[in-house]
Amino acid sequence: MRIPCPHCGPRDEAEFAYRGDATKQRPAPDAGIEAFHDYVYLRANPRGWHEEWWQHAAGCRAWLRVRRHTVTHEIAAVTPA
Amino acid sequence: MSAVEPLHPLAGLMPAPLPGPDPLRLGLPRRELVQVTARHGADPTGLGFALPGPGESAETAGITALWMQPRGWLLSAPWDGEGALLTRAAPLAPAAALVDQSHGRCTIRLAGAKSRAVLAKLCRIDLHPRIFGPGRVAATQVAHLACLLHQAEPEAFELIVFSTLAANLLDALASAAAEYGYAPG
Repeated sequence: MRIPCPHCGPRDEAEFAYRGDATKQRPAPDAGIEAFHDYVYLRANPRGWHEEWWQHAAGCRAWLRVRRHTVTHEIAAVTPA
Repeated sequence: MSAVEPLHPLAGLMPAPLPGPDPLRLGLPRRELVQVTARHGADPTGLGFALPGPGESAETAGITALWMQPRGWLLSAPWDGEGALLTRAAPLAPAAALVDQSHGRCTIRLAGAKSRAVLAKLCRIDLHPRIFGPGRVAATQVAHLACLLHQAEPEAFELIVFSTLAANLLDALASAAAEYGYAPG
């Protein structure tokens, strides 16, 4: 898999570190323990398009929001975080 | 401050020359390096030239500025005494954080007709002249080490890596160059 870094151009996946699900939003401070449990522990495992954080750790160090297909590894969009 | 260290960290580790059909020249230039990270909303100027954009370098009065990351650069200059480049870079200070990396990182130079062929064995980016070329810079991995790769001349590359890991890179370069031969130079 290659990820087109908006700063460096297309680079091999080995240069990137996966930093998690980009769809998770931190709940409001008073949202309650259940909401925080879900935020910290519960993740979907979609078959298809997924919004993810990737960091170009061995390159320009930028955090990127990547829209990736989890079956084909096709990448539809990459934007700087 | 500790004693001045005029030597390159790899000075004693250069492999003995290996004869071959098209020898690679391995050099250990002693450079001063200063990392420049722009502050929020600030535009570092004052060196007399504009800091380069992504993947590019710029050079003036013996200082080479290499793009390293968004709003981050590495300045490189020939060794001129402890802290000399940091002093020359001082005009950037109001708009950027300056960190002297002269001991933390070091430079390995490889030159010769086969320098691109040797790097192609160790790194994953396309160094063909239609994509890359003199003056271009890439922050990437070479032999699995994070490395700032700078094509200084049509047949010469400079690799800036962490000093503590540089011996591994020198070994990898020598192994990759074995079929062509290599010599210090």
